[in-house]
Amino acid sequence: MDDVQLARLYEQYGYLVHRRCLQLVRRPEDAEDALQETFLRVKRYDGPREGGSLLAWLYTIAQRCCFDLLERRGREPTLEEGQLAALEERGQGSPEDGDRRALLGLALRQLDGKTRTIGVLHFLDGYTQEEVAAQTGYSRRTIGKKLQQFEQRLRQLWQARPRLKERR
Amino acid sequence: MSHDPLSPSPRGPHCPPATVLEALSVGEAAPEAVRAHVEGCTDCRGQLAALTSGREAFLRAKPPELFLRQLERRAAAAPRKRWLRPLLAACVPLVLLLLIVPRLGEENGVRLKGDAFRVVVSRAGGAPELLAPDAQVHPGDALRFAYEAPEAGHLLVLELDGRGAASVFHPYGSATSAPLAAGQREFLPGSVVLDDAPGPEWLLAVFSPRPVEAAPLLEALRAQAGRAEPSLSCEGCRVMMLRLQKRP
Repeated sequence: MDDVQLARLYEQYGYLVHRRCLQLVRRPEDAEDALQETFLRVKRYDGPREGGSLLAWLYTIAQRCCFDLLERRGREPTLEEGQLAALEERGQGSPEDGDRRALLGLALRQLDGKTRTIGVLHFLDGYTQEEVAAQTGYSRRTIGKKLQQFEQRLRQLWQARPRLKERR
Repeated sequence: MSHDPLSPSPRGPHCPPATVLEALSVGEAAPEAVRAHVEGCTDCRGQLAALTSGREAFLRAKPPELFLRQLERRAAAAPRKRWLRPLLAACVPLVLLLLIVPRLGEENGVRLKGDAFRVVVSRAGGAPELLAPDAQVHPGDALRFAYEAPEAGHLLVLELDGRGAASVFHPYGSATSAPLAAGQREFLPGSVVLDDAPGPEWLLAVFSPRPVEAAPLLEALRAQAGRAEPSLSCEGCRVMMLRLQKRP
C-alpha cells in the first residue's frame, strides 16, 4: 500500500482505530503506539478480502497490536485507580458503558488471546455469539465457553470495583 | 451497587451493534433496514453525529501528513525491533529467519503477501532460537510455531521427517486444522519435541480460509518421501515450507 492510499485510509478510519485502541489499552500513549503500529502493518498488507469491511479488517489488526502491547504491559504494575477513573470520564454514552469498558480492559490483561478476541467482538463490537463464531472460525461451543470465562472474570472485577472506589 | 457488568446496553432493541454504527459513520455499506432504522432513531443519529464530530476533531489535531511523518520516523528508527524486544530480552543468540516459499498449484495464483511462518527451537539450558532455513536441530529439541496472516483462517503445520514419516505438528496429532485469528503474531500454544529420525526435516504451514483435513495432505507427503523437495496441493490454501537439518 502506498502513502497516498495509507493517508486516505487514515483520514477515513484513523479516528475509529485510535478510539478502539484507546478502549483496549486505555493509556493515551499506548493507544498512539498501537495506532501507529496498526498502520505500519496495514502498509505491509494488501487489504481485506474482496467485499470485506475495511473497518472490521482494521479493527482486527488494531486489536492484535493492542494485545501484543497488553502482553508487554502485563509485566508492569496494574494501572492506578485514577487512570481507571479518567477512562470512565472519557467514556461516551451512559456511566454503565464507561464501567464496562474499564472492566473490559482489566479483564483483557488477564485472559488468553483467543478469549480476548472473542470478548472484544462480543462486548465491544456488540456481535451475537453466532456472529462471533462466523467471524473467528471458532465453533459456537468454543465461543460460549470462552465468553463464560470472560463473563466470570468481568463479574469478579465488578464485585471488586466498589472497594477500589472507596480508596480514592 | 446493583448493576450487572453484563446488563444489556442502553441502546434500543432495534438499534444495530456499535460497530455497525461506526462503519456507517465512515460511509461503509449497511443493509437497507439498518439505514432506515438509523434515520428514524434519535439515539443512533446522535451516536453518528458524535462519531463524525469526534473524527473531525481527531483529524484537526493530527492531520494525515503529520501522521505519515510519524510513521516514517517510526519505521526508520526500528523496523520490527519494538515487537521483538521481549524476545530479544529473553534470548541471547537469535537468528531471525523465515523461509517463505509458496508450494501450491500454480494455477491457484494465491498471494502470500503479509503471511509469515516462524519456528523457534528451545533446548534444555539454552535460549530459544528462531530457525533459519537449513538450521541444525537435534533429537529432543522442542519446536514452537507462529503464523501471521492478514485475515482469519485455519492452520495446519505438518512435518515430513528423514525417514519419510509425516505427522501433524499443529494442532498436534489432530485430524483437522485449528482456527487462526488475523494478524496473530504470538507463538501458538504448545511445543513439539523432535524424535531421532535423522536427515532433512520439512515443516509445512498450510493456511486456508476453510478448515482443512490433515489425512490427504499427510498421504501426499508420505508419497513424496525421499524427494529433494516435497510439494502440496490444497485448494484455496497457502503453503509455506521450512527445511531443517536434524543431526544426532
